[in-house]
Amino acid sequence: MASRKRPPSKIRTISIEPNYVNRDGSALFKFGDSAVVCSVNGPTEVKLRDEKVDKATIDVIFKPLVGLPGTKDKTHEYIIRSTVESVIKSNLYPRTLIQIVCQVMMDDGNILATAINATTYALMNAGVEMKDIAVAVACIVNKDGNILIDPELREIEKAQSYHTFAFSKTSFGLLFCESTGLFTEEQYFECYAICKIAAQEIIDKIRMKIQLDLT
Amino acid sequence: MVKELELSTNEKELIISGLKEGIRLDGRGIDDFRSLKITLGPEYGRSEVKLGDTKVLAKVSCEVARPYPDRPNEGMLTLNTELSPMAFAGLEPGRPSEEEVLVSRILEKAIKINRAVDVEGLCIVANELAWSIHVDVHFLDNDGNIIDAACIAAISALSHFRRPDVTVIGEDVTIHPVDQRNPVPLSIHHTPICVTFAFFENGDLWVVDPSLKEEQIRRGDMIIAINNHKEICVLSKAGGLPLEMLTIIQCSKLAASKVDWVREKIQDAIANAAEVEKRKTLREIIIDD
Repeated sequence: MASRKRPPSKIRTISIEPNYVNRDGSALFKFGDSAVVCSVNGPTEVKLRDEKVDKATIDVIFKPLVGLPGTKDKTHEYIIRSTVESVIKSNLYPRTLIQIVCQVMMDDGNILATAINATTYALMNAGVEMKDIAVAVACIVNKDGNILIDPELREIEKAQSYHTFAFSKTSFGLLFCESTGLFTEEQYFECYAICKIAAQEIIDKIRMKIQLDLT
Repeated sequence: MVKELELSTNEKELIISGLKEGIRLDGRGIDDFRSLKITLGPEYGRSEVKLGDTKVLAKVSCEVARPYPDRPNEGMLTLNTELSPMAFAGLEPGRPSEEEVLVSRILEKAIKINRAVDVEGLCIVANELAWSIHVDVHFLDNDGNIIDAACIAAISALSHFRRPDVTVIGEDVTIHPVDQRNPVPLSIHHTPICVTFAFFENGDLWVVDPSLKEEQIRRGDMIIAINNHKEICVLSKAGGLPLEMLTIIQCSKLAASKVDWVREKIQDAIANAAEVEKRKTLREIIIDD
């Protein structure tokens, strides 16, 4: 089997396509051959039962590439919702709904991280006010103890442990993390440090893309 | 939940008066499709179709399962067409809408009930093992005529799909991973392609491939699916305006020529995808050396 063609700490080529679908805001975010398209509707009318008097209701739908949404996809919905809830200024939109739909377009690993980044860009594209932005990166620790960032599917299959981190831009704090597999404390902090550096790279990329689109 | 905004009276009148002169809002003639772009790949069985601003993604996948007891010699083909608020604002997720039922029913009729895919060829061991093929159709953007776009996406994805090869020796079944032996395409009997017509006023005015605005003011619609042998596979006229016999014949003639055009596009897309795949393998060989 072909080995990894890029250095362990290098993420795959990122490409972003804003306004991918005709909604209030949308974006396609790609990490190499992993792609998620996210659309944002809102602020729009909310169902009475979901209405919150002091802030916006945030609803996330996550649709997998293959099959009907299952437990894993529901978990992704929950994670994306709680991550963006902490960055959206939802008190500016009381009694409204902000509906986020993520659709997986291509799956080559790290779908959750890709989806969080797509959501961030789509929210900005929709003009929803945020106090911060969230970016996410994933990495694995393989059997030799090496850390590979932004792994592909075939690398994830052989991983010892798998970690996804989401950081906020301004405070650069940890917004979300999820780890599976067996790992030591040092490995965890090492992953954290490496992902933080990669997150900065993604933020720069997003900034560049916005600059490019505005000029 | 919010409903899509209705068209204003002025907009309606503009569209109708334009149609009377044979002009449509986007400048096409009444018998023109919008631009059609089909992208296949990078993996087998993935098709992205853009029909104007309508975007549909289809993904074909397979797994090995036990055949149904009443059809022991046949594989399974399932179509999954779930609509999401991405293309349909105001849609309530979880509950199938009228539109969803209509789309899935037409696709099921065109592809499954017409036996477009050879399901007998999907059987591995009778009563024991068979391939189960899933077609997931995702609607990303709706600018009218999602049925034609979905049908094109599903058919092109099925034609592009490859399943792992299997060998059966006695009772032993070996499924060869894709990187060990070249995967095999599905055998496809025929390729039905849908063409949608919309009718206005008293049925004298009609268009092919209606846009969202035209769909909102249409008074009747008709869907014709025609295959590569120029046979009509589905003719769906689900209520709405009553039509003259002659109109139906005229429409089916036009549909036949449109289907040829669509099929050419699909073939181009398949050839394109094969070319890309070939270049990719060549590059990998060079890098590995």
